[in-house]
Amino acid sequence: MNLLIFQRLVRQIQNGDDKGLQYVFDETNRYCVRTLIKKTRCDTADAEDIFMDAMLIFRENILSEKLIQLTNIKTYMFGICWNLWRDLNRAKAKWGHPENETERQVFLIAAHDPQMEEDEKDFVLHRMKEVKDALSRLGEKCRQLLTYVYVEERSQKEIAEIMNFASPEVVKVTRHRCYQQWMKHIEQTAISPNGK
Amino acid sequence: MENNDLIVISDYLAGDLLDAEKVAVEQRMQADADFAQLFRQQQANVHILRAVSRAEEKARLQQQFKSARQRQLFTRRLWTASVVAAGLAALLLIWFNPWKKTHTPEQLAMAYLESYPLPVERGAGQDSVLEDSAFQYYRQGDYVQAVPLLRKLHESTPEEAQITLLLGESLSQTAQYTEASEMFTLLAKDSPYKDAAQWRLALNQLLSGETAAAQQTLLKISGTSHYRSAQADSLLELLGGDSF
Repeated sequence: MNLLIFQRLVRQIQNGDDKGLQYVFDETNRYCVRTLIKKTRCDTADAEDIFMDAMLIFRENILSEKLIQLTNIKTYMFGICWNLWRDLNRAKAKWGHPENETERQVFLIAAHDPQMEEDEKDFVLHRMKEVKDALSRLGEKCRQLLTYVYVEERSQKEIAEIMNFASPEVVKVTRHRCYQQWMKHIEQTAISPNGK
Repeated sequence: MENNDLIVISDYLAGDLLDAEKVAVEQRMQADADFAQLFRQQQANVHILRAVSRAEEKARLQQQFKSARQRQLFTRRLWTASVVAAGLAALLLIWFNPWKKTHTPEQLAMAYLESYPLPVERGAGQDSVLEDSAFQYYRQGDYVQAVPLLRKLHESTPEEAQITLLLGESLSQTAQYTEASEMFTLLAKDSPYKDAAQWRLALNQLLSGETAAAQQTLLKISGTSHYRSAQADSLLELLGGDSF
C-alpha cells in the first residue's frame, strides 16, 4: 500500500472520519468475505460478521499505533479475519453460541488472550451485565475517556488534544477519577441487581 | 479494595507504568493472591469495556456501510439503466436513422446541378441583336424567354456549340427534358463542350426520370479523366444503393 494513502488513512481514522474505514471496507470486503467462505465453507452472514469484527480490530490497531505500515491491505485484513474465525470457533466449542453481540465480542477477546485463565473467561462472562450496567451509569465524558485509554489505547497527549484537556497529566487524573467511579458503580450494581 | 492498588492496576492496564513499575506489579501478583485476584477482576472489567465498545462501534459501522452500500447499489443501478437506455436509443437510431434521407433521382440531380447561368462566351453570331437578347434572358435566368430565341439561333447556326449548350440548359430548366437531352447528346459526341454536355445529359436524364439511361451516361464519365468523374462515381453509388 502506498505510504501516502496509508498515512491519510491513519489520519482519517484517528480523527474519527469514517471515510478511512469506508475505504478499507470498499477495498477489502469482497475479497475477505469470498475468501473466508471459500476457505472455511461458512455462510455469507457469518463471513460478513467476522469481516466487521476484523474492521474493528483494524481500527484499534491503527489507533493504538500497533499498525505503523502496511504492504497489502487485503492480505492484512484477511489475516485478521482468519484469526478471528479460528478464535470464534474455539470459543464456541468451549462456551457455546454467544447470546448477543457483546458476548460474542467477549468470546473473541477471551479466546485471543493466551494469558487468560479458563476461570477468568467464565468470570468475564458472569460479570458482563454488572460491568455493562455500571458503564451505562457513567457520564458520557468519563466513558469516552475510558474507551480512548483502554479500548483504543490512545496516548494521553492525543486524548488531551481530542477532549480539550489542559495537559496529559489532567487526562491521567481524570482517568483515575473516572475509573474509580466506574468501579464504584460496579460494586453498587453487584450489591443491588437493579443498580439503585 | 485498596484504592491505591486499584489505581496502580488501572495504570498498568492503561500501559501507563514504567518498566520497573510493571515488574513490581507482576511480582506482587505472584506473591499476593488478593492483589492477583483484584488484578484479574480489573482486567476482566477492561475486557468487557472493550467488548461493549466494539459491539456499539460494530452496530454503528454496519449501519453506515449498509447505507453506503445502498447508495453504491443505487448509483450502479442508475448507471446500468443509463447505459441500457443509451444502448437502446442507439439501436433505435440505427434502426430508424433520421439522418438517412431517401432521395429520388430528381433530387439527386438537383443536388449535383451547378449554379446557373453558365458563363456565356460571346460568339461570332450572325444575328447579334437576337443573340444579345437571348444571352441577356439567359443571364437573367429567364429561361422561358431565352428558349425561343436560342432555338431560333440554333436553327440558323446548328454548328454553334455554345448556342446548343445554352439551349439545352434552358430547355432543361424549363422541364423540356427530351429536347434538352437531344441538344446535350449532339454536343456529347464531339464538341468543345463535350464533357460539360455529357455531365448535363446525365443530370437531365435523372431529372426526366430516365434513371437507367442516366446510369449509362454516368458510367461513361466514371473512372475517366472527366472533370466530373468523382461526382459520377458517388452519384452511381447513390443510384445503385438502397437510398431510394
